[in-house]
Amino acid sequence: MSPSSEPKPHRKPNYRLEIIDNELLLFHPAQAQVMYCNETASLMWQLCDGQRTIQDITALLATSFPEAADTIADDVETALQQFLQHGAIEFV
Amino acid sequence: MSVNHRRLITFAGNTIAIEHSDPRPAAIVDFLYRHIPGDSNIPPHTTYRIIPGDQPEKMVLYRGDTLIYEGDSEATLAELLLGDSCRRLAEKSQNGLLFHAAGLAWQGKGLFLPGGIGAGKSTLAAWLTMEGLDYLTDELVSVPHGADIMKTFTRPLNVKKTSRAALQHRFDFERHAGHISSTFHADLIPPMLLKPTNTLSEPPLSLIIFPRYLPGSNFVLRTLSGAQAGSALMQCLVNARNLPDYGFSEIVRLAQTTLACQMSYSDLDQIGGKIEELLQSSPGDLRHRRPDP
Repeated sequence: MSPSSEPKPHRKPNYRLEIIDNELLLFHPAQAQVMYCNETASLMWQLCDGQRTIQDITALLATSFPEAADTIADDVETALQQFLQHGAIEFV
Repeated sequence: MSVNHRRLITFAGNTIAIEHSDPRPAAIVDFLYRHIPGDSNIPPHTTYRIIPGDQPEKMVLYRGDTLIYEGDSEATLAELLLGDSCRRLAEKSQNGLLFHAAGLAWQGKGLFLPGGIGAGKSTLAAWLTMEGLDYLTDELVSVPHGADIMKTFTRPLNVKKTSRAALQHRFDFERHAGHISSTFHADLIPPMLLKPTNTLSEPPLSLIIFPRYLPGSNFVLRTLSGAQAGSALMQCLVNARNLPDYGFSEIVRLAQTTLACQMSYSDLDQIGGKIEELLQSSPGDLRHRRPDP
């Protein structure tokens, strides 16, 4: 894991998770807001632990899905935007 | 002004009352709610009153002490009463999931069409009814806790005037004008006008279709994953704040056990018999069908 000072995405608490066939439904009861995450976004969510940088996450996913390595960076960017829009992560 | 008739309307575990005093409002109330039973064991939380106005042709509609309408248009009063009462029933519902959705039945199977305002639910429900399905509702479907059945608020179909063009080759609006309640922007159509043999039921929830009318588009019927279906269902849930866990666990249960699809179309005739084909093969064998890519 990178010791860098780059910002690291961190899941916000109080989300309810339901994993359905490797995809994820995130539900925030206080905001009554639900978010659908496909398989990649679902993995990303697990990796947003406040310890890993975006670069770390991208590298991990590229290792796990070598056949999709070319598009992983874009997928990570898209998923992070989605998480941010829903207020599901913060950068620490 | 005294009232001497009182009708209870019960749906999704709560009751409203409508009071009136003469035959004109009685006919309106019967037109709107003839298929909705009343349960005197559940006290009404809201009372509407329809009373004569200050001129013979005028009527006045109150919810409690709040004036909703005063005027001489029975159709406008009917539309306002129906809309307001649906909202009140929905706001107070807490004994199951309550969705903005149309519902129909076909050969004992329930077709569930969730969608927000403007999704085309009523027009699609009207068309499917004329195709032979049984109309149940175009507005509210309740799924009780732990159950897989559809309880529906069966009201006249509320078809926007802009949808007439899509339906008029199958339904003669002019010929039926005397039995339709029409305002400037919508028609309330009793289901029996669309299908004289229409039969009401509480069918099992067999198929979920999220309809999307897209002008100029091709017909696309795409299977959704469980998570996609769960997310879309949450968007159409009306009474989340009244439910434990905001209904999330129950939504997940439905999404995992019922086949769900998204349907895009630009012309009702594109649909053909495709929905009946899906209903024919559901529920069991298609419930765990993989989503389309």
